[in-house]
Amino acid sequence: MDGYEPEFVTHNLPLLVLAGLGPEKPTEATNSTSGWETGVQITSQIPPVETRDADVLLKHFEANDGRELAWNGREENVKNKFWVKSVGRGYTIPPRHAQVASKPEGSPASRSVLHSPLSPLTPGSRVFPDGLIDPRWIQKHQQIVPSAYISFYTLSSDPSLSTLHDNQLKTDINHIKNVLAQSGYRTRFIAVLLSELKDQPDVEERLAIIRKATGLDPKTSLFFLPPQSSAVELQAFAEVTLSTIYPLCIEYYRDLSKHSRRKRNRGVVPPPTAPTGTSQTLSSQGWNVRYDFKLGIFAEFRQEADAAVRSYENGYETLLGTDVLESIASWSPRWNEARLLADVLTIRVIRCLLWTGNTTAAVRRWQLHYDRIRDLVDRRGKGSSTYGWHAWVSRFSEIMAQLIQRADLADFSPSNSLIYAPADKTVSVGERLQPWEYLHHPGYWYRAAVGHACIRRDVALAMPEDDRNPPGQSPASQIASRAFTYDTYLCPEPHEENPLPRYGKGVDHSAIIIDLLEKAIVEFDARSQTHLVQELSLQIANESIRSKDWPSVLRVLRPLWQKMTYRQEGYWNIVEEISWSLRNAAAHTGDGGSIIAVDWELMNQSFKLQPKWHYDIARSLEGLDTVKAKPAVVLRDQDVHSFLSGTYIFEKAEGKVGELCTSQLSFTSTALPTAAAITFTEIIIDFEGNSIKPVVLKHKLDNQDDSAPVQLSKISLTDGFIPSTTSTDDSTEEGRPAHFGDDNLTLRPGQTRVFEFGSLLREAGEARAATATFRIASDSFDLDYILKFSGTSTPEFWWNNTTKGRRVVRTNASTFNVLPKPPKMQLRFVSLKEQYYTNESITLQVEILNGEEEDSIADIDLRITGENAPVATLRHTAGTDVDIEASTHLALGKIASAASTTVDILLSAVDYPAVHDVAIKASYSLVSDPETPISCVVSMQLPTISPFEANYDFSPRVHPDPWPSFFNHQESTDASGGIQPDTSAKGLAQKWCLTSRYGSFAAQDLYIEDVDVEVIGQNGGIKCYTVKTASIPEGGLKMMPKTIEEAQFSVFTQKNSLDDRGTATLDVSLAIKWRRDANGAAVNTTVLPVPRLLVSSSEPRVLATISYSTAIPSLIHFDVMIENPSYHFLTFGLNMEPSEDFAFSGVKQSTLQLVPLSRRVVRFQLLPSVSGDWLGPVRCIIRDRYFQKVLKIAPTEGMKIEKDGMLIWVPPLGEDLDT
Amino acid sequence: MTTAIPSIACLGVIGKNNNPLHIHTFPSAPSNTPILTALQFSLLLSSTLDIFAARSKAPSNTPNLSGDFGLLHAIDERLAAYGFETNTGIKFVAVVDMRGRIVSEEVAAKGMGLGLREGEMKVIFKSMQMAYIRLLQNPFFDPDEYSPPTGLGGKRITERKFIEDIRRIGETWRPGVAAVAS
Repeated sequence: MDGYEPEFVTHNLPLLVLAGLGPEKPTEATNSTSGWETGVQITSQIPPVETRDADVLLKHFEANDGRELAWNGREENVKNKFWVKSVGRGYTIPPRHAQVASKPEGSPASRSVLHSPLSPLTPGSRVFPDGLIDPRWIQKHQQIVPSAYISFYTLSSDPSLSTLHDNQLKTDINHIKNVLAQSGYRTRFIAVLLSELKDQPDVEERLAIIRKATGLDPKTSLFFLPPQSSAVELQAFAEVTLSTIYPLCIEYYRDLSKHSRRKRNRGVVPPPTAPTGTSQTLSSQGWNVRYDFKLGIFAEFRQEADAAVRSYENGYETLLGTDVLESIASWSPRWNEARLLADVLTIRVIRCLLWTGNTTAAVRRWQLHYDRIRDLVDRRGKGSSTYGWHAWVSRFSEIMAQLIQRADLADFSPSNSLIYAPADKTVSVGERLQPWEYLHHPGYWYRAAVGHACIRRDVALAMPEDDRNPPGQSPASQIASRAFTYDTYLCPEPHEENPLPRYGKGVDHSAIIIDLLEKAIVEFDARSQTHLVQELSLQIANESIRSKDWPSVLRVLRPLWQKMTYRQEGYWNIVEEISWSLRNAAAHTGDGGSIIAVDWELMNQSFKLQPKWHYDIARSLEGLDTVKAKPAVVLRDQDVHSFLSGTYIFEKAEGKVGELCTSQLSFTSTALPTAAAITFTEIIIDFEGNSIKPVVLKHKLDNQDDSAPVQLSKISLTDGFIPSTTSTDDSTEEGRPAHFGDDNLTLRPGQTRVFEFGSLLREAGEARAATATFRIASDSFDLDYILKFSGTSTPEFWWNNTTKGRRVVRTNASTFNVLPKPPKMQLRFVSLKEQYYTNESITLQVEILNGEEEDSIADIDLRITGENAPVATLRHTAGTDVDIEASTHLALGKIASAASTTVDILLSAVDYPAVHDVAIKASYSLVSDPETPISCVVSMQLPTISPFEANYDFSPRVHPDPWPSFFNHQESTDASGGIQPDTSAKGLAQKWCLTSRYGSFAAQDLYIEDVDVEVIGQNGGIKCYTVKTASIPEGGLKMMPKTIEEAQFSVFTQKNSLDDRGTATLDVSLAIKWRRDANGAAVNTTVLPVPRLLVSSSEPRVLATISYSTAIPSLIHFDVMIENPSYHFLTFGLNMEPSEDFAFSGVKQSTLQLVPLSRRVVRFQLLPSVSGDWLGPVRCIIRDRYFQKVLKIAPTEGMKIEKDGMLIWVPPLGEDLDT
Repeated sequence: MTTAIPSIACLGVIGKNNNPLHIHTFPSAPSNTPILTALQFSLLLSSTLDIFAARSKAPSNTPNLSGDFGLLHAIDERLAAYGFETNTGIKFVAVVDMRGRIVSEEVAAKGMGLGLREGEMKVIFKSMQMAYIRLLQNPFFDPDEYSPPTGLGGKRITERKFIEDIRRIGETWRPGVAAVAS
């Protein structure tokens, strides 16, 4: 809002003067310089209050200063908005009425009417005699004449001085009150008493006295700050004071409004102080404008925007009406003053409309003022085609932007960030609305200002030279005609706007425009309107180009050129505009890199052909002296819209290590047809993954015709190294290995070049053509254009020859899957057995046959998996006859081509049947190519089974030893004759028979060396030993597959104690020693578990035995032994049933009584009727008389039990003698 | 007496990649030439893209199902851009010159006021969408060529019939018409 007096345009706030608070200030500069020296002086003898509390209090009062707040009606932190002015003790208030200047001689003695010194009626006033209003009038009310004058005093706490001080206070207050009253202003006087530190008992009394003596209202005019107030209390005190006096201050301005309204309603022009002597006086309409303007100002002081708008609008209408502005001569300075007042009124109206949120009305008001002033200027002024007019429109647009910014509308807050505010409530539904009438954010208004600023410049530049001479250099007639031609309202005269070059520079239009553009950019950027930011940046650059400020152009355009979104979006005309501008600037500043980059991009045929341009990248820097250093440019395809596009295709999707893979690099130029052919120095193709070495194609000049639209070249590659670019350590770095080829690398516009070559695949994995770097190294510059091959979904094209090709229908033809080389080394398990068994050590043999055509160096690894995997050892008998053993990894060394070697795998015996996986991996490399690892694997399943299974029978036998007796003493005699019983055991000895039938589950014949029973454990306090009853023949017992053998063992048990009646158990196992074949193979032992054997000794039992008579053939002695191991006297009934099958002698029926710990045998002689067969059933029933329980008879050798009774084996006749 | 009423200054079809598919400019009164240069129209159309993006992102209680963005912004007191986005991301932008056509007072009095009502641009977008759908029905028209999935640029529409349609839409529209010849 430059150009308007700040008083005219700033928002008005009630003025509050704080006197005597804080350190003494020098008299304010404005007071002395603005012509108010004379006036009512307020003075005071009391020094200012300068305590710490006073400083804090001053800060709290100043916090309510509303000058910097947004111009809107929202109440945020500050409720009572004041213009707070802190002064010392002295203050000057301007006089209400002008002094009567030296009275002209001989004037009538009548009392002259005095007016304000600012009134058009007062001679000497700026607006005398017919001006409308002086901005100093607003200044007077806003900055000098306060609505409230607050004087701060200390209330002394010294009892001896208090009376004196209080009297001084009273005098001072009364004095100031009187001065204020005399001044004619109704400024409120308010006294604030700050108590000193100590509490004073009589303070209330003293306050009352002061109040009485000064007549101050204790509620609104006299405030007292109690001593020792805290920070919060101080703040609250300031708040309370301000909110108490705020209504009074508003009332003050309402009184002023009333005064103005009264004068307006009077409807007469006040009489002048002295006869003006001219007819040029302000008309009554002019006076009304004055009054309406004042009413509006006072309403703004009261923060009543609606009332202010009404008054301003009245004033505006009157001002632009026929009687005021229309009647002022347009050459008069008053005309411009009136026009300025119209602007000021509009600014204030718009501010008040924005204050109340009437955004659409604000735009309409702006538009209305624009239209009316334009109409006025066209009719009465110098027309709307002068630079002055456009300067004004630009200024007024900028002011609108500033007003919107100052209003800080909620719609434009960062959280909302709307582009434009919605229509306000003044717009009725369905009303036709200009789009511009939605209030757009300030960026748009700045932009509009830019537009008019540009037109202003154009008009100014178009002025004829005659008008641009300084006034002293021109004929007077021209000066006069100029005054009628050029509108200089708020802008310089023509000779200053655009002087002839010899008379200086004039107005820097570019600076104005760039300033506006930068302000607009800030606004657009805050709302992330990047496109508009780019557009305005381009405009800034164009302005800088106009003023030939090349470094600035480059500073703006270089980042813009790099980051602009237009390139991705394909707005080629915009890209082109920016590019040419950048090139122009770069050429002037010597930025060779930018020149090359822009030239490269502009060759694309998307851009418009500039017929005069050479389009030859090689000539880019031709004739440019500004480029000092040789530029090295690196461009990436995503950075520029390049004419060069390319693809990289592998012919096949996959291949194996060591093979050649064929691939094609094809690139096409879409350069403008007139562009020069480009010759690349080299093209480097880089691959991802280690499978393929980079390929470098170098340019080679040949004289072949290379103008075909598609040119296919097959290149043979040679190995080499790309020299390392880091030259710091060139001694060790020999560079990257690469393939090299050469061809003519010239590319003409519209041409497609295809290069086909085969590269050797080195490592397995995925290979991807990553980038191709097209390098141009010339004397004047180096350019690397890096083309990234991106996977595309469209099918690529494989060229078979220059005219034909085929679509490659793989999705990603620039990737290649490299498979590992197929191994030719063979691994084989040799001489495997049909079946492997538990408990035997297993040896597996692996033969390794080198099927490669070269010697190989091989290692083997062994891996065995499965539950309880056996411990493995690898053994290799090398050529030197030295066994090398290792657990899992074994280096075999060199194996000649077509030779083989054998490795033994020794596995420890496994205990349980299982299946294990045995895997052997041979890793090797050829002697000629040690870098490429090759591997092959062979694996097998190794099942191991148990060779035997067995079942068991455990039955009682009659122990030959006599039992100990309670009833007859016996000396220890060697009764058993056989094995000496363990004398440590005192219990009853028992004999048992363990019969084991074991079957072979093996697949071949096995030889049983031995079968034995091992007692693993015995529980229940018994002694035990076993005796083998049958022996295995020498040299082993040959056991065919699926046959069953039987082995019997006698088991002798004896309780340790006779009194121990508990049940005992035996844990035994069957150990079978066997070997695979007859001739001395290793003997293995298979241990088979035997179910737990139960040895009971406390219950009575009956055992039956038979013996064959030696005297009478076929006579069988059948003995029934009843054992009573208990400590009871037991009675048994015995009943032997007769049978048809045999005759018997013995007791048929009897009762047997057994004393404790005794046994008795009852013998029968049987004469069977059969021979060589089972006899029976023999029904012999033993019954416990007491429990009435039949005892089961346990059979022993030669007997078995059936359901009905015992069966007894009767040997065939003639054989019984043998047994 | 004559008065100026709104007319179409430019119709733009913008692709999914924010790339210009077609820009058609129309002459404005009184000089009967386009009010801006082609470059300025390109800049003006591209400046609407940020507003499209911001409006699509902005959380709104009523999701914009119709695709009509209404007024995007007014670039000055004469030119205003209105927008529409199809559900496939094609954007239509109509730049209105508020004083682009000169008619006699009587014609203007017949409901063709100076301003624009909310929704008076809908007919244009509906017709443009119809024209675009007709274009899509052409089996030789591959939308991917015009807005490639790579997200970069794309070709311009050169279909004669489509361009003719757009021209007719722009020429026949005037404020308050219920339908535009298409």
